[in-house]
Amino acid sequence: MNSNNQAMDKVKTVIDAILKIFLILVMAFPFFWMISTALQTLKETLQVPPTLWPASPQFSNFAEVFKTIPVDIYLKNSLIVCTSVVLLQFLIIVPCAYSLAKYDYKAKPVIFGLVLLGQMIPMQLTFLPVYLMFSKAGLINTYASLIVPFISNPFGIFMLRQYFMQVPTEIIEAAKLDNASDFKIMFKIMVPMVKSALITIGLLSFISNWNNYFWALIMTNSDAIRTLPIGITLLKSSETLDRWNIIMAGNLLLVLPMLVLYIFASKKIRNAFVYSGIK
Amino acid sequence: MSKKNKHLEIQSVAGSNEKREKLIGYLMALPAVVLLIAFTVYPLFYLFYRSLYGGSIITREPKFVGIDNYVALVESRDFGQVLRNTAVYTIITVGLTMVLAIIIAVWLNGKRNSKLNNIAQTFIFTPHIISMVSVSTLFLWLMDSKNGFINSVLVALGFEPYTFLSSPDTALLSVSLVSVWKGLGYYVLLIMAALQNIPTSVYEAAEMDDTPPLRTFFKITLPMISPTILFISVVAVIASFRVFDSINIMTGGGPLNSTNTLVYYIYDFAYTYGKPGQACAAGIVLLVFVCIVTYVQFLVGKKRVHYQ
Repeated sequence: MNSNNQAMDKVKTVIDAILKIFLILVMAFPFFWMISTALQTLKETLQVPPTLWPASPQFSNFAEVFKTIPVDIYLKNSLIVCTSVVLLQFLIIVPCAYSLAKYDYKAKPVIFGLVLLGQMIPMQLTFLPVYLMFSKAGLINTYASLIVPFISNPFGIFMLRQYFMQVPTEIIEAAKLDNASDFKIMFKIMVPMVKSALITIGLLSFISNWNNYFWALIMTNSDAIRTLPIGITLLKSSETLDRWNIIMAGNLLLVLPMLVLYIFASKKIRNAFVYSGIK
Repeated sequence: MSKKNKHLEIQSVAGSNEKREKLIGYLMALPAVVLLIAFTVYPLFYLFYRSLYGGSIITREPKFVGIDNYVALVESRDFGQVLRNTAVYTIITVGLTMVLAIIIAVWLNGKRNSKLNNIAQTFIFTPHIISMVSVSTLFLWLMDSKNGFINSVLVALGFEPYTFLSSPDTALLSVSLVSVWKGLGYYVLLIMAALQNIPTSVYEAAEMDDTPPLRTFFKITLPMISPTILFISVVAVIASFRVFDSINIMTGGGPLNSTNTLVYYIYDFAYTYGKPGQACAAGIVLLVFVCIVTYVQFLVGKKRVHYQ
């Protein structure tokens, strides 16, 4: 009876393992397929049945991507936009969150309401007015049009405010007795205490800006400013025959930085998303 | 100096300090406030204002047309289909994502094969941090009707090739499936976080009573996490309303308008047809939907706090 139960349990464990491996395959296979296709010859991509792994990996496909579209410019633009947003936003959101957490004034609920509104309204709603506004100001197709709308990151303000509120006010008062200025207290004492929140905000905004396609599609119209996600879609449309090996090689260039980031900080990234999901 | 005078002086210093504090508070919030007004509040007002005017995207002084743009929306056959497509897409995507996410979260939260659970968790979340551009392009290739991997497998197994994006009957479903694949891990993660908040004592009691697992799931687990499920379902609904990237890359709204959804319609009307007035009117419709759903989210959120 007992050994029977044990055998049953073993069978269950094996079936459970098989199903889980199937789940992992469903999630991982498309990525494997992207890498495999990126290394195939054009002939291999057209073969029936398909080649699972290329006979000799074609690393020249990546060089072909650089010949077809100006990847180096797109990559540079993506990096400029992402780093600028990640760094500049701290100048905006840290003081605002600190002010909401530790200062007392009449308009505070209004400002906090503004932050919540900012979190609620998606860019898919605001893009047209912002486009028309930028176009009047001659700012279409500039880095500013890709950076400025994102540096008041309302989610970042919300999260930092939460963190600042947990810092005991006595620390601030003690510093004030030492005649430290408000800004010095904020940057020298408060900011180091919320470092983990800053890292979370920085990570999330880097990921979302790196992946942002919609906004760059609206605001850019020349290769000099376009970012990598736009570049990849142009690579697709510039291929009249659909050379899928070249398209996947380009796609891999867009995916790889995120995958590397995820490999090194998977726990941190997942925790960041959980926080932003159930705040 | 008299005692009284000194007292007054201290009071006035305290008063000016308080004023100074307030001023600094305002100053610190000011840059963010200016940006939030410029990129959130002003656009909303402008959206409404522009929806009442005609003209093209380059017209300097558009003409006031009242509610004509809204009337044009209601009268156009396309817009009805766009709303229907958006609703169908939302129902399929959110429904499928939630059912799968609950099952997988509970499954991966179990004790069996805990090493595999960790690996599965890592992999299932990966698509969430990848650009929708990459995911869409990748599935365009996987779902290619001639050389795509999925159809090659189907044909090799003796099935008919599936039409995926090339038929109006299956395109919207195909786009939905891609969103489910991409978003699933995120919702699994959120539900697992909720599962881990259920006190173990609850389960121990059920174990002592020899409650069958399925009964435990429906009588204990599901009710305990249902507030979270409701909350994130609403989040998922809003995300589905906003679908654009995959549509633009995979189908361009076609074939035969079968995947034309609200945001794609707005974009198309503004940029392809150069009619910002009607696009803004459609934007107001989207705003109303977002407001309604956010209000529901607020109610659910309140309940959730109460529940905990």
